[in-house]
Amino acid sequence: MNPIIQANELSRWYGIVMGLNNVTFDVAPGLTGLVGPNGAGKSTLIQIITGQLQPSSGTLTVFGELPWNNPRLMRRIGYCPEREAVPKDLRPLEWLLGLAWLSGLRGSAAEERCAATLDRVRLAREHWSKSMGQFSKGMKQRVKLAQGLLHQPDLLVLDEPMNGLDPMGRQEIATILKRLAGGGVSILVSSHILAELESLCTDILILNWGRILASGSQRDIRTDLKNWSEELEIHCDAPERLARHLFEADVLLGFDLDAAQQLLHIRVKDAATFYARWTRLLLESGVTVQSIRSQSRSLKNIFDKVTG
Amino acid sequence: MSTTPNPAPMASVPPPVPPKPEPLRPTVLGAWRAIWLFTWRPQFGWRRLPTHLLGLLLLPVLVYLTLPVLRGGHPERTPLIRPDQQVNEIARRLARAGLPLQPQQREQLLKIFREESAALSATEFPTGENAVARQKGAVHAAFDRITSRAQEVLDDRQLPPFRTFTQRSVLVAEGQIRPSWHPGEPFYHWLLDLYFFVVLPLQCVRGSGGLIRDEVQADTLGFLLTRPLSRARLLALKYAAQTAWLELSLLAETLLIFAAGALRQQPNLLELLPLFLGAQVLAVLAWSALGVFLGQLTKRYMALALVYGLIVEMGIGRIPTNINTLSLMRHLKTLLAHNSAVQNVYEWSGLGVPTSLAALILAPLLFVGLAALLFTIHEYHHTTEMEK
Repeated sequence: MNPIIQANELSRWYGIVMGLNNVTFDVAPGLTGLVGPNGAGKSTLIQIITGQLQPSSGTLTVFGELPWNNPRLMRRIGYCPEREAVPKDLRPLEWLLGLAWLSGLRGSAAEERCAATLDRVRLAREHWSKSMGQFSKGMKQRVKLAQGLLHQPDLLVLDEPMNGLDPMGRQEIATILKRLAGGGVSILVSSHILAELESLCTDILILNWGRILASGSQRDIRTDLKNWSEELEIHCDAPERLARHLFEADVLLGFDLDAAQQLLHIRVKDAATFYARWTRLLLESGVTVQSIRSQSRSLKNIFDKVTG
Repeated sequence: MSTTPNPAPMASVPPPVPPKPEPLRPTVLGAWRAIWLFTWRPQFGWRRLPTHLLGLLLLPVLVYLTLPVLRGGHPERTPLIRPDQQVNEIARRLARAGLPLQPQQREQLLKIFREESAALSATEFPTGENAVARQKGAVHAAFDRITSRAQEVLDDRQLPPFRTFTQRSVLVAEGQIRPSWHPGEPFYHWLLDLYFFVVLPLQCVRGSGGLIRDEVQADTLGFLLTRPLSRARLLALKYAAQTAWLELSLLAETLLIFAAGALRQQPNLLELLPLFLGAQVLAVLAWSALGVFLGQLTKRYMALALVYGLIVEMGIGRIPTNINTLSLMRHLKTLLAHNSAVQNVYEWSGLGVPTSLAALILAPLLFVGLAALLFTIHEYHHTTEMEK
């Protein structure tokens, strides 16, 4: 499937501060999560994708076109920014109507689309007549999402859309996004609520310090993890002796000992080598093992690992 | 006999995929309507409305409070020749010089001053072009006649100090000369010096300079930049909407100021109003365009506007060569000088109406064009903008 976003050696500086550092990646159609801690470069990347910033070097194309000052491309992109800024003195329907006109909708069709979109994001009708300055953070998020959906874009770019929403609201937004994705809309969503991205997105892009640390489908990333350091929790009768033996065998990066619970947490250097030698090492140590448990390979774990 | 092979059985045809609707394209009118809505609607929010109303009423109220009450629509004037006062003064001066006036000389001088004063007061000076110059000429002639007639009354030693005194009196009288509708009172200084050339430019530059910067500060620019509009068109539409809003609000303010003047029985207001409003339309277009341009150059566009005002309008605009055509104020003065009352007060020398009209129409196009060019290449980032 042709990628919808392609970045090639893309960099972006703010003076001497590097927002993005020579990143190359593709984003396939579907629901893609953009993950990274604060300052990772997520918003910079999103602003380049939506044509608000220009790359300092390298290229980024969306649907094969450069986004900067490209009205034709903007017809196909919807954008929901991170911060909760909305015009305080406008009512949601007024604001959406103006943006609908700007997007090319006309007449009663524009009004109907605005109302339908507000219904779609589940903004209660009793709030439609209030100015948005009185809205809660969650209500603002819903209106922001609505304006991104107004013109039925092919690609929806959402910067932290779940911020400020209660658990039910998050679930509702997730459902909306899944429905949109099911209807053929590609979605790029950034978030630090990793559990939600894990259940929402098929593909993941992990950013830190302006670099792509991992990209692709969740399954591929998990497979790659096999090559990374493994963490094990071992319940045995002599954890101290086992730790000493493994350390002398030079297979550990580090360990934590919980003598009271008879638990040993180890971080292995190379998973493949460790598992090849594990049985012999255990026999040599003479330790009786009750249980061995690998740390779960959740998205959070992946994220923690790659972002250090 | 030819045989026709049996046709292959038809493969089942999948239902046609409905074509995706053509992406939407905004019309100029639709986009204008949207930007206009975003411009005027927030002005009526409960946060801004009281400030706007106060701003709208401030100048008209000040005008009303500072204008003198004119009795019967005609101001009282200080007479240009005050016989008793002036004869007493010349008598004191001659006495100090050791050349005292005899009682008979004093009586005769007083008679001459009174007759000339009465003749001058009886003269009608029509308003219009050169009215002030005509008045000055009449004053000169009156004092010349006084000096001439005094030669028959005074001796040779008294005449030189008398002539010095009358020359000084001419200068004093000229300083009191006003056109017949009495614009020397604060009204015209409110209207032209303060309102037209200070308040109005500042309002326009303030309103238009922040067209984009204010959106960046409120962090709402992204919603507009991700619509299918080129940056240049977005800026031009925002300028047009902001200018339309300013034209309407300043029209209301002007009408209120004129109403305050009318309540104080200021003459010739109806004659001035159409010209004033026409010039104001062009001024708003020009000053707003300047504001948009300065707003693209720097975040501190108001400071830059003051520097521009000092250098171009106050400095270059007053140089008596063709370079002063760079001054927008000068072109506006050229238009306003077509009202005789205004011309009587300020005695502006015009550059020619076609030149000034052309300058006032081309200047906004130039400024907005440059601003659109800058906006097309300039990017705004909320965080970095806020850190500046």
